[in-house]
Amino acid sequence: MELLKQYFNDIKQLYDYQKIVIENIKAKNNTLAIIPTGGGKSLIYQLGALLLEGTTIVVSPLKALMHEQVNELKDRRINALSINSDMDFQTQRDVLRNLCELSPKLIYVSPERLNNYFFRSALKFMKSKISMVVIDEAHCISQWGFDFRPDYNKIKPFCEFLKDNGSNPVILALTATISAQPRKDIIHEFKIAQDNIFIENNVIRDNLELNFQKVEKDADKLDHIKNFIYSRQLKKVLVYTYSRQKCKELSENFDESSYFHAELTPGEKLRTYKGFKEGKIKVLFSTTAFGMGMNIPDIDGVIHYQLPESIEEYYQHVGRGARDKKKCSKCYCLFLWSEKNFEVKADRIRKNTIKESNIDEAFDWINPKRKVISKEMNFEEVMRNDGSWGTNNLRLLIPTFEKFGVLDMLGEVNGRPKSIVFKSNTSFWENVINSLDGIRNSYTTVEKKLGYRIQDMIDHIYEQELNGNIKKMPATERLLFLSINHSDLPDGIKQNIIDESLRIERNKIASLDKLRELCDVKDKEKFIAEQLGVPYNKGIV
Amino acid sequence: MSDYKELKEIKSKIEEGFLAYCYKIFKVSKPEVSLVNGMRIKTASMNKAGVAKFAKQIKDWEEEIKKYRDEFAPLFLLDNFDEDDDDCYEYEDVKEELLAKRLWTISSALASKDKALEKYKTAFWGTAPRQLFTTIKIILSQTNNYMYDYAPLIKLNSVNKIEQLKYDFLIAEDMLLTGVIGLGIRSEILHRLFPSHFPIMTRKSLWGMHYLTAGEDEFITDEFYENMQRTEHNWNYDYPRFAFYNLFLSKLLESFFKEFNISFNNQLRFGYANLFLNEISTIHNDDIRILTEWK
Repeated sequence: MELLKQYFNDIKQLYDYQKIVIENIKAKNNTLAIIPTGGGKSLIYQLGALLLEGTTIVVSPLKALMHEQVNELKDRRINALSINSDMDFQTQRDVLRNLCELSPKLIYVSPERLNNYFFRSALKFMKSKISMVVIDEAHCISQWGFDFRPDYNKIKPFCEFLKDNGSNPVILALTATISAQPRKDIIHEFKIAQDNIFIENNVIRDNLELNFQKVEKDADKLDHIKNFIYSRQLKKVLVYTYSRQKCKELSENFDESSYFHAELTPGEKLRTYKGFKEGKIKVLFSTTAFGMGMNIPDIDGVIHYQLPESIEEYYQHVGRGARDKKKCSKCYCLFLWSEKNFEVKADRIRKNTIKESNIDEAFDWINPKRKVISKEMNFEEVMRNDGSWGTNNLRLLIPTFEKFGVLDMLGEVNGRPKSIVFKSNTSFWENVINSLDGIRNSYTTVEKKLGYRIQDMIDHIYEQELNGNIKKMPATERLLFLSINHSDLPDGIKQNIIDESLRIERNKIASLDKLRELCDVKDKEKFIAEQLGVPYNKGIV
Repeated sequence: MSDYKELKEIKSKIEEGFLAYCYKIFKVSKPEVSLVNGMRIKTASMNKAGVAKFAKQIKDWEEEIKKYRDEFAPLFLLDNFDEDDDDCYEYEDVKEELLAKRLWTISSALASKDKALEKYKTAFWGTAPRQLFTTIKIILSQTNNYMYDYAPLIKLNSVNKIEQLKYDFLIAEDMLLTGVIGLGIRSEILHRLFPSHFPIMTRKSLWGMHYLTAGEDEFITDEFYENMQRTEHNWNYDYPRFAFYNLFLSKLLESFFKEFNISFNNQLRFGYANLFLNEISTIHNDDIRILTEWK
């Protein structure tokens, strides 16, 4: 292929499955491709993007890695950029301002960006159309999956927004592991025909040694980890735990070790990631925050100190090991477990299931005055109410309410009207500001008083930004706009939410039971392949 | 409250430390006064220019206190919380604009990078806007009642017991919101609206009181976080007691001003006391920085 030679001359040829998926994209077929980690997923959409006319948007949850990917593409003279909330606001502002002129081939975004009004304004003003939307780590879309991310619900409405604005992108959903129910969700969500589902035949890897060790109590695990690392002379080991505090505590028992979790600052995350990649950190204790897309080819040990929820999640984790056989021929994996661990995990799943009281409290929070209204919510409120520390789980329930038609998530914006300062005021903006008296400072108030649509107000700001007329845009606040469709929550809807939550709970408990079964079965790879619904032998399905 | 020292003991320490800090802050002193360190103030420090500068400083203070009060009053009008009124605040407006942005005690906590304040941020954002709206409404309503029913009857100049302040209404459970609207935050609302009757109890004013009383421990406390320790202001200090000492301090300030023919506006009495304590805290900034570092 010409493009491969021109831009990726270090890669001699494509695998067959890469060629097939690229051809399928070219034919404008919405596609799901299940390809193991290290199997060249990125190359598929990068080449696909070059083949298609227009811009490709890559939706990825891996903010820390976007920068790295974009730099690699730039080195290959491919016009790419990324935008995500790890960047400081002024950098984001610069990127969006320049988007109009740059019309890049690839834009990497995190899913929460997709219904940001300002980002959407920038896309509307961009000269090129959007030809493809890539959903990386597509399993995150399903509430049935182990790694459900509510922000992935924004992808479908975003595609509809693109269609309303003259683009008709093809969808490419990519993941390394995905079991039956989440797979159904993706297929249904993006209308993917059976013929357009591709499963690479090497999902089950041949260079992972899977070891399972039963322990009596958690206190024994530390010695097992030390022995495992020592006896196999491991040099780069990833140890999974599910507690931030535990990561830190455990790492203190090892030399040349560190820890990684979601609460670290972007800078700390990047430093730890680099340290591990470069071999300065030999043992990294991490929550699942470290995982997907982390491009480290030579991890030779993956240890589970605490249990994942399913075989799917387990295999996703061990798949981080020995990604490049030339640099690391084999990865030794150790799964530490006790019967008690499984009981505790099951209890936690039950505890996290949405209950009627959770639904009532969340609805009361978002609609205390029992009105059919539009309103904005501070995103800090949504993020910090995630069900932990006794908080309400707004983070899960708002997307759930949307799924059941209780509300619509209209979009997001950074900052409030009064925080934006124009160099020279426009009459449109004067009207906006004059409609806000006292402490009132919300777009929905303006919408109510003047009838201006929020997107129109943001389009106006973006247009003025392009004209160089914005003096100050301190927009640290992130706001979520909701349209509440019911004054009271209908009992039928409430029951449907409860029923679905119970189905999810049953499914998760069943998945956990399968993981327990895996601890005892002899041919573990075969069992994993059966559970993931992937071939154990070669050949494209 | 057995941990607190006798009122008269703290009062006498305030009195002892007062003049030395006046000299440091206002650069003037009463004639023939001996400072704690034995130094006598020369009449030269009483020169006209120095006194004029002092008067200007007090005028600036008054403007600052009034500015806060006058900006605050219309925002915290009880009418804005009347849910039968079309112009009533939205619950979210109260949480995200009035409290998160306009109230210094909350806005600074939310913007702080201090990891120990993460718990506060989670509590604040984890509280439904309606709950905050209701608590603020109750605080305003009860405080207005106090100002109408009790304040005219209280002779602040002759108060010599905490009970005489008639602050009982502040004890009611719904006058605070556990973990979110505490004593310090509530004191900012009360003080900004009525600097005549309520002091503000902040980090700076508590540290100021600590140094004014030659290092009294009851105004500070040890904090612990993830195996670390530091010394911080005692944010849980008994508010009526703090008010009593602030009142005493304001009386000292009033008589000090009189010596220089500078008028003392009773409507702003707790504002003067607060700014005086802030200045003391600023003088000891370097020490405070060291003490409040996590170790």
